[in-house]
Formats: sequence, structure tokens, C-alpha cells
Amino acid sequence: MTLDQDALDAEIIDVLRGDARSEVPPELDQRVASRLAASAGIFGLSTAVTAGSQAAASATAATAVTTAASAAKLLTLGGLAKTLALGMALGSTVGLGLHVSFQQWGAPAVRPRPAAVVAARPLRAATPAPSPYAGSAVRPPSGDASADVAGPLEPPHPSSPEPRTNPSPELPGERVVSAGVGLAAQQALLDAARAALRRGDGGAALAAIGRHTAEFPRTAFEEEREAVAIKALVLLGNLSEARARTEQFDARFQKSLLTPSLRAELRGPRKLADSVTDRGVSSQTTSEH
Amino acid sequence: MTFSSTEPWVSEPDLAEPLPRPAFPALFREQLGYVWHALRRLGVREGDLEDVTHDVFLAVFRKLAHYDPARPLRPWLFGFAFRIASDYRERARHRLEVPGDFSAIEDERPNALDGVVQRQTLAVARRALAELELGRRAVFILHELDECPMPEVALALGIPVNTAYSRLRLARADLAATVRRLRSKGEP
Repeated sequence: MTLDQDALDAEIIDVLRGDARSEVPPELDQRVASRLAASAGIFGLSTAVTAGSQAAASATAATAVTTAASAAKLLTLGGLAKTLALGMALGSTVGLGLHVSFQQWGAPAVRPRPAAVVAARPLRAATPAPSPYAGSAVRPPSGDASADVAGPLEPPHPSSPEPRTNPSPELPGERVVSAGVGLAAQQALLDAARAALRRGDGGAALAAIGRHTAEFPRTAFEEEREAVAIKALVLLGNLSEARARTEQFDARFQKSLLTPSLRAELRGPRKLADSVTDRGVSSQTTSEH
Repeated sequence: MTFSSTEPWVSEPDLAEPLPRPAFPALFREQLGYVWHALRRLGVREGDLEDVTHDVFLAVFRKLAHYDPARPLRPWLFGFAFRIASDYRERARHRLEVPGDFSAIEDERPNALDGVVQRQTLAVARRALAELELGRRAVFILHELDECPMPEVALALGIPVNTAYSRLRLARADLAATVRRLRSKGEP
């Protein structure tokens, strides 16, 4: 190597700084916003969007948003609400459904998006005390990562509206999604979770399950979803939680055909190290610490 | 979506009147890229980045009332990212952030670095960063990459300033050693 130390450091630092200016995944903002709405009722982050034909969604989004904006304006002028969700009514146009929800956080950001949202929310009635902060906070589907920093739900700004004390009965966690709604999206997420299990990636499996849970809290696929989640926990070595959830699974899905496979997983969990070694990455596991 | 590294902490706050606290939607839109990249640098795997990003913003939303607008925003956000990324690694035994696992480098998406830096240099840089111990890495990221003053680094990470300086020194040495090792082996 010919570079001196300072030059080397400067080069590496420049590269790493530039790396953070690279693009984030397409539609990341939409997906995270959608999940924040689902997990904690944080609306107004973006225009929502869902699956179906992108072309159809793109073609109809502008019209839908215009319609929604007009309706919202009328409602606001009437002093009825600042929140409006349109979903099922537009579904027939988009295919699986286009959901538009927006909130007046100062200036409402409503813009058409070509992509698509997974499930349409039920039409929410206008509320007399609009607030971006829902009254309940649902645990993030991906686990307890925020446990040490998350506190009670608080309004972020003194000038913001008061927290909603009478949360809508249609909070995301209470949605019921039939097996037929977003079927392709549901199946795709479950397939992704199973594929992750097959390649020994419990984290990715749980991530897919988390997305499924966030987007389809109540669905006919809950039994299968929970089974995949338990297997992922076993794979990750979290046997205590896996056992606890298996007991819940047994109680909830009595005589489930999936129970034997779960028991088998618990009896003979795959070793994380094995899966790591299979991927040729075992050295890092110990070198980091 | 692109992410700008321009950060407002270089501007002096006007102490004459209280600064407004950012609204969450604006914060989300403007800082999503920063948080995503911070988590990636902290070793969250590509497949989990979206989940962990969600967790960070959920925590930020709940704690936004505690944010002091007189302080720079990004170190404060980085504190969330650091703690949640640490938990993530402990919780799920995700110490799988591995030198050999840089699938993103193979990504063919347009990258601001294209045409400027060799792909191999980026791979070496990422790998060297990934091999840093997490506490040292956090200090290194905040100070060297995000150009955050050391007192803010220490405050964001909840450590004494002297500890922050010590970690920075060690991080620099470790990074340089790793880069030398990788290049001497002709890696990646």
C-alpha cells in the first residue's frame, strides 16, 4: 500500500460520507409511514397507497387525491374534521384498493403516489377533536427494540393539538382483514417469511411477519403467521419466547395441524451458528465482541 | 429519495426566543434517509433496516416532546438509532453484520458514488466500519462522518466527553488497521 496514514483515513472517510448520500430504497418513506400509522396511529406522514396495478393506481391517484382534498376542504370548512380517510370506495377503481389519508399538520401533504398500499382502511368518521396522535400506541410489530427509549405517547409540540382522548374504534390494531383482502400481498409476505426461514435467516422472517402483522392485524392467516414467527424465534435461539408463544398458539388454535411441527422445532432447534456457518459468516459473530 | 448530509448544527441558535420544535411529519420526511443510513452504519442488516427504522421513528415520536430545539437534531436522532441498533443486535443475536455480507454493494441502484469512487474502496470502507466495536463506531460516525462536535457526540450517546475522545482515537486506529489488513490481502 502506498498511501500514508492520513491520506488513507481521508479517503476512507470521504467514501463513507458519500455512502450516506446514496439513495434509500424506493418507497421506503411510504412503507415506514404506513407502518407507523398501523402500529401507533401516526397519520399524516404521507399519502398512502397500495397494491394493485401500479398503472391503475397512478392513473387514478390524482383523481382520488383531488376528490379527497375537495372533500377534506369542505369538512374543514364545516368545522367537522381535519382527518379524512377514503378507502373502499376507491377500491373498485384501483383494484385492491387505494387508501388516502392525510392530516393537517400545518400544511397537508397530499400528493399522488404511483405505488400502492396494502389494505384499505375503513372509512373513518370525522372526529370533532382532530389530532395526529392516536390515543393508543400499539407495540411495534418487529419487537421490543424501542422499549428503553419509548415512553408514554406524547404530543411532540406544545402548539400541537391535544392528544385524542377518544380514539377511533377503527384503530389499525382492531382492523379485521379477511383472507380475501390483500390476499396476494399477504401471501407474498408469508412466502418471504418462509423463504427466510429456509435460508436460516430468522431475523428476516420475523421482519416479514412483523410487516404482515402491521398490515393485516387480524386475518385468516394468523395461525400460519404465528407458526412462522415461532419457528423464526427458535431459529434465533429465543427459545423462551418461542415456548411461551407456542403455548399461546396451542390455546388459541387447538388441534392445529401446525402444532406437531412447532413441537419438533422446539425439541430440536436449528443452531444459529449452523446457519451462520452455512452462509460463510461465522467469523464475524465472534470477532465483533 | 436522496439524503443530504447538510446538517443545521453549524448555525448558532437564536437564544432570544425559543426555537420551535420540529413537527414530526417534517422530521420524518427530512430525516428518514439519515436514520436509515445511520442504522445501516450501525450494523443493522439490510433485510431488517426497514423494521428498525420504523422502531426508531416510533421512539422518536414518543419522545419528541423531550427534544431541545436548541440542540442539533441529528445527534439526538442518532442516539435513538444507536440504542435501538444495540438492542437489535443483542436481542436477536444479530451479530451477523459481517464483513463478507455486503449485498448492498452489489446493488445496481444508482449511487452518488458511482463514477467517483471505486466500488472496491467502498467495500473496504464499509467493511472496516463494520468491524469497529459498536461504541467506537458510533462515536466515529457522529464525529468523523456526520461532523458533529465532540460535546454533542458525548451528549447524544450519554457518555463523558473524555470517553468519547478515547473511543474516537481507538476507532481511528482500528479502522486504519482494518483497512491496511484488507488491502494487504487484496480484499475485497
